[in-house]
Amino acid sequence: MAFSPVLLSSCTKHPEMEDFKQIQLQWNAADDAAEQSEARDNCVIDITSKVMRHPVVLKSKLVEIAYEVAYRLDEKGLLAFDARCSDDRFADLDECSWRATCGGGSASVVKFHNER
Amino acid sequence: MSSKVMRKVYALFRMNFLIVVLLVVTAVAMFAYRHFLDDVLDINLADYPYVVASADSVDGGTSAISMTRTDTSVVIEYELREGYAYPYVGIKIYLGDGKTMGRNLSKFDSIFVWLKPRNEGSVRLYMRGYDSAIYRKNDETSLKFNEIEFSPTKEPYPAVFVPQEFRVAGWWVSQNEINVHKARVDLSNIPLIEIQTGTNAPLGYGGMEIKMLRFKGKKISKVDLVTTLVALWFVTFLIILIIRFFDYSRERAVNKKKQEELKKNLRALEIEKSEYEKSSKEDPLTGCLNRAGFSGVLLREQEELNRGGRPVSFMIFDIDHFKNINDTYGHLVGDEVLVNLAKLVQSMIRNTDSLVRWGGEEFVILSDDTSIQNAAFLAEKLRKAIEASTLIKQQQVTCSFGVTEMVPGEDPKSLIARADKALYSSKESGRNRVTVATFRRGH
Repeated sequence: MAFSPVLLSSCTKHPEMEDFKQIQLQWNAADDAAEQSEARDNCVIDITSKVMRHPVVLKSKLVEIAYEVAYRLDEKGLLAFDARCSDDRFADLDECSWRATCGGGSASVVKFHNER
Repeated sequence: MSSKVMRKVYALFRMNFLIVVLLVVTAVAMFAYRHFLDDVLDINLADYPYVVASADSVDGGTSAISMTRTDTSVVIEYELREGYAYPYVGIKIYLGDGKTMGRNLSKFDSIFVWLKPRNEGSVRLYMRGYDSAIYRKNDETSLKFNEIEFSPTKEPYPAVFVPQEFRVAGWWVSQNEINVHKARVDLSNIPLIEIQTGTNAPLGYGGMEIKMLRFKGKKISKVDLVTTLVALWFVTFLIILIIRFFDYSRERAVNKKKQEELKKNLRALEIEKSEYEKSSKEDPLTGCLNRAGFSGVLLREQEELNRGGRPVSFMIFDIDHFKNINDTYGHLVGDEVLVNLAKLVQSMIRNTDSLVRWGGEEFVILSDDTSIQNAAFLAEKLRKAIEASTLIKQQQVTCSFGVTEMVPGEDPKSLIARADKALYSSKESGRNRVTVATFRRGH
């Protein structure tokens, strides 16, 4: 009987908190050229925004998603981002892998790999 | 205190003293005018040398007169006879040179005549005036006849007259064809006084005793006295006015000085108050806002957002393993970490952002006009900068961050709890990282 309030409390929905998803983005430059890129700051802000608002992320069942985001300069001089979930257990989930390109004055594009 | 009262009493006394002096001077002047300041000219005929008897023989008459002096008077005995149309006798009293330089009798306001007739009949008193426009040299008749005719038996003794009772003899005016403007009574230069028998004096023997003439007036005229007093009052009040003006100017200067001192004190108090208020809202160690100071900022930003303002982001961060630093190196080193961290963060945020020491090793940054992705970017920048800095030489210090964005109308507790949860996620995921609690818009 003593457990029942705890149990009830655990099962109770917290609607206020459910509306929020926690996202970690660990940004790792592949080299100094990428680290020093002028477009990097704007790209990081823009991509963060797009990832946070992406329907795949918003519909995710995970409450917290932590990404390791590696970025480098591609042959066109654009910044190429490659993100994967830090936790390998969720590697197959749609929201766990995405790529993005950014820079050169054009809008960044975020594409989730496992999107169907 | 007492010197202030004395000064006030003195100021009051100084004003009133002048008025009292003025009143006293006025009263004394009026009293003196009434009882003293008499100007008296006595012509005592008993010993006055320039008295001669005269009769109508100069006009062709035959009347006779003899004059004798007693110890106290002049006595004339006469006989009025037919001959001249208007027979007369009398005496002449010369003043000054007896011709052109007489006495000014116009300043006297009453004339007393001690005269006793032996029989009935009127007496004429002539004040013969010199007027340069009329006077003919060595012609006594050209002296103006200012006259009065009276019956001594019907007058008190002595008989008293005022200058206004005199008139210029009409026959003299017509005989000399005198301009009407010149035919006014003028006693300003009288070289000759005549006392004669009058027009209705009976023919035959007669006589009269004339003791004295007295001219009585004041040393200063009433008009002069009043004018002088009015001038004195005017000058005194002018002086009082000037004194008051200077007193007022001095008082104004003193008041101005006092007012300036009060303003200065008020400014000092305001500065002290503002410093006190500031210190009550500041963390004494790091100089950041404390929670008390932050509540006002949070409310203000929330109101702004509720009115449809720009996004506001809330970031909470915490020093990783701070307890170990304190335990290993002591609280002084712990404080050094806190101070240096605050300095570093303060140097990297905008002036419009608020850095708050939330408690212990926890800090908060409230950034207005900042979307969540920008706040996340700022948090990442701060995280990297802290990681790369040497806050203390003993070891590397890192921080974990929780970032969220304020939702319009939400309870501040929810905002803080959400950011706290994101921070907790960062801690749980291994520290030294940023977690964003993003709002699921469109859900």
